[in-house]
Amino acid sequence: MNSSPELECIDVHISFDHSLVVDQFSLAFPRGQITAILGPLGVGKSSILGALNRLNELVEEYTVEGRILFQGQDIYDPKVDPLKIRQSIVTLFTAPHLFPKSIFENIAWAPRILFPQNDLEAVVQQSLEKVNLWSEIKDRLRHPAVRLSAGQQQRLCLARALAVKPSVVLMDEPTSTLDPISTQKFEEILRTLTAEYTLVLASSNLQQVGRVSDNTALFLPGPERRGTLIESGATQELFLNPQQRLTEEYFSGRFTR
Amino acid sequence: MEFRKVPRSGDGFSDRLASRFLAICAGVSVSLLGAIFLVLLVRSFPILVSWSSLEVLLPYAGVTILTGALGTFFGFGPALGLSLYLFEYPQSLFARFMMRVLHIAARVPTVVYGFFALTVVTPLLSTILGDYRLLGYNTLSPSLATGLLIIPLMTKAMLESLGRADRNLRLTGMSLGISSFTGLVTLVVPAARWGIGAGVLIGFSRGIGQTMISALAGGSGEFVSLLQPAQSLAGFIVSSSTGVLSPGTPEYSGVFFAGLLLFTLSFGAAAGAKILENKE
Amino acid sequence: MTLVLRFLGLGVLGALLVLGFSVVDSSLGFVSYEIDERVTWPIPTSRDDLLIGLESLLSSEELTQAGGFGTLQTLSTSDLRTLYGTFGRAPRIRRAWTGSESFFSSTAIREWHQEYNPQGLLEFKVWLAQILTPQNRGFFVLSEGIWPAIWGSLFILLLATSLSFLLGFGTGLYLGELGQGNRWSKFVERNVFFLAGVPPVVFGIFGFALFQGNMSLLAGGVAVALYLLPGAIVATYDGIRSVPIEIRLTGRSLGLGWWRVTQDWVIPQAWPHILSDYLGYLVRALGDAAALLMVSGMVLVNQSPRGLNDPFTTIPIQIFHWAVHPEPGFRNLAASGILVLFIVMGGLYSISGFGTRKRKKYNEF
Repeated sequence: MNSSPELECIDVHISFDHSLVVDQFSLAFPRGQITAILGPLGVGKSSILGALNRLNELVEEYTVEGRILFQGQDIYDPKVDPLKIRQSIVTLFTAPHLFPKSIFENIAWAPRILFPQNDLEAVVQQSLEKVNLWSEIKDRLRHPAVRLSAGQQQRLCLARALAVKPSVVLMDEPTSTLDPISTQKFEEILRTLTAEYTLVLASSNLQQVGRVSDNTALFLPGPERRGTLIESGATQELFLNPQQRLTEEYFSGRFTR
Repeated sequence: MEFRKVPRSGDGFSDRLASRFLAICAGVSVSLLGAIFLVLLVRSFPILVSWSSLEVLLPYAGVTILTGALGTFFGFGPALGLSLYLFEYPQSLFARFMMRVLHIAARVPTVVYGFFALTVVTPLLSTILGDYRLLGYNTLSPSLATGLLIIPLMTKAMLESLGRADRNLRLTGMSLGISSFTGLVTLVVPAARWGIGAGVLIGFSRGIGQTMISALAGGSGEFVSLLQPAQSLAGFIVSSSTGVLSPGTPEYSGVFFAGLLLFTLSFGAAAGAKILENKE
Repeated sequence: MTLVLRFLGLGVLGALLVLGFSVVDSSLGFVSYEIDERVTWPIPTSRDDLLIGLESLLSSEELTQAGGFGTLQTLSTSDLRTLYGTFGRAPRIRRAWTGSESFFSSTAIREWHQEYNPQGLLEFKVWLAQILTPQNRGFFVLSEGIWPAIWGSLFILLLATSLSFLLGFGTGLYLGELGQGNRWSKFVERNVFFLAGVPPVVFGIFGFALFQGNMSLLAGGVAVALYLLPGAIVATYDGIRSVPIEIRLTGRSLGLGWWRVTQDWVIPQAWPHILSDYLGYLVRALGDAAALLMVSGMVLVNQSPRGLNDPFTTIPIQIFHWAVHPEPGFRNLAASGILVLFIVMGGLYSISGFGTRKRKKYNEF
């Protein structure tokens, strides 16, 4: 296990429109592991994810304090190209947002531009294999992507994200729109991906976090409803032996705020 | 720790190039308005400096304003009434039908309304007023036709304004025992008065800006009375374009001045409408 | 109270119906022609008849001026017809009636004809047929046609679009994609609002100034281009804004830049919406006479324009010309012209309806 984390937040505050939404926190995302950001809806998980790859900048008036390091380098450094950051730290959204084209086109669009020399067919196949979709749809590649089932669509989005060869994959409640079986299929894939990627999973689903993640960071609404990091650590440790009273309350369902 | 404001990042070379190009487009579009004003101003300069030529044109402006104002006056009632009805009963057969009709009527070109003024309104007026007055060109017919022209526009603006103002006013009124319609009139309309006023001004602006109606049915000459012919700015422009216009003649500058007046008048009305809208 | 409002609405409806009815009504009816022995009407259609007729119509000087009989034979049939129409004599119209008059007072009409024009011809005429005949190109009431105007309208719209669509597209794209809330884009928006409110005559005067009074297609193109500019801007803006933000977010989250995502995904998805909205503005420009008044002038034009510097006329301008003529028959011409205008507008508009349907299909997202 590498000692320096792939992605790291140091004393980070996140503000939208001049109002603080996430209080100061520090968090490390070790390489090759699944780190979960756990918390109730609205606590700021999406904002944290958006800060990690500068996607927040696209949405509105957004400011960040502190440092966010990717492979040791501050991603907000003016010399850094945000496009490269977003290619290395990709995002998977809650609902499967597909391009209105074929399955093949969905995956091939970005690699075609980013890696012009590569064999697109191979890239598409590899990406689909990584998400266990290749055998299911290899003969339907030119069909419109919307015709897939919800679970397949989400896996397609994951494949699309993997096709640009990232290092980190951010996932924002990826299975909350899926049925239990699709969710299970999805979770199975996550484990296999840790060999190549570092995963960050934002979820409000306690059981999922317990099942899937190596590390967990619990965020709860604090003063003025700002997201606050309560406790973080190895998942097993956190669940079995929570240090903070709030953590314990949350796990036992007594946390009502 | 540093507090950094992060800008919108669209960072590649082609991104910057494209956004520059688009900003230039926007700039050009904006400067066109100013360019038109300037050209008109410059070309009408000879007339502006000589008061007597000015005097000839100002009555035309008066007729234009009169026609616009009368048209707005005639159209205001039906527009407000229609918008109230459409707002209160949007699902009724009548309402849906009228929406369709207004939608189509809004697209009818002004020439057609001019034709209407000439061939229907004027003879109709002459019948109503008795055959001892054989009406030809006059100022009343264009005003009426203009009113009809701007009704769809005003109705749409007022309807939108009512929608914005309503929020829950009517519901509140109804919970206090007032009927929905009364609530509409006594609560929502006053709340929407700025928007309704803006709608009126927009109608007025359009009424001033139309050329065909006054050109076809208005006639020529000085204004004497509503039932007599009188030339508006539009009519003046039309009659000027018949002849050959050589630069330097008062007619030449006159056309530009007429254009300048029309531009300014309708701009003023539209600006007024914007101001009223902002008060909402 | 609602009854009063309904009454008002019905009043408006009634007025519009009367308008529509009067247009149709004026486009057909009885016509009382004066025929005398000098009349050489209708214009023959066969070349032989045309040549024979021209021979007798043209005086010897005119014939030499035209290059002699040999040159005549080399002209096309439609040119021969035009020549014939120029030198020939159409019957004069004593009086024309509307359709409703013809229907309700046919006996009174016949009596009038007997009394005032006994040597002449009384005929029921559908003016629409006349103006739609391509060979009819003006000079007399009975040879007025609308085809030159139709071509003129078409060329003007095409020219105007090619002049201002790109500019409007760029501006609309700027407002829709880049200008969110900052002061500059609010300024641009306000400007577009005012530009849209400018009376179209003013655009015509501007075009007139720009081209120093040359009544050319290009000058008209500029005027109509200005008229269409706000339309292009708003159509693009609405189209771009109708594309949901998810597509942009997804594209950007893969590490691609703003322009790339816009060009590959946003614009293609917005395109049907943009086009069908723009078509609506084109239709509006089709019906506008004011923008072209100063530029097209009151010159009676009979040819379809061939080059950028040719004089031209458009359908609404033609209608206007006809409507102002006091002589009998011209009002009927104007009414038929309006019918043609409606037909063309309706036709174009239904094309944009297809665009709307295509838009719905694209959004099965």
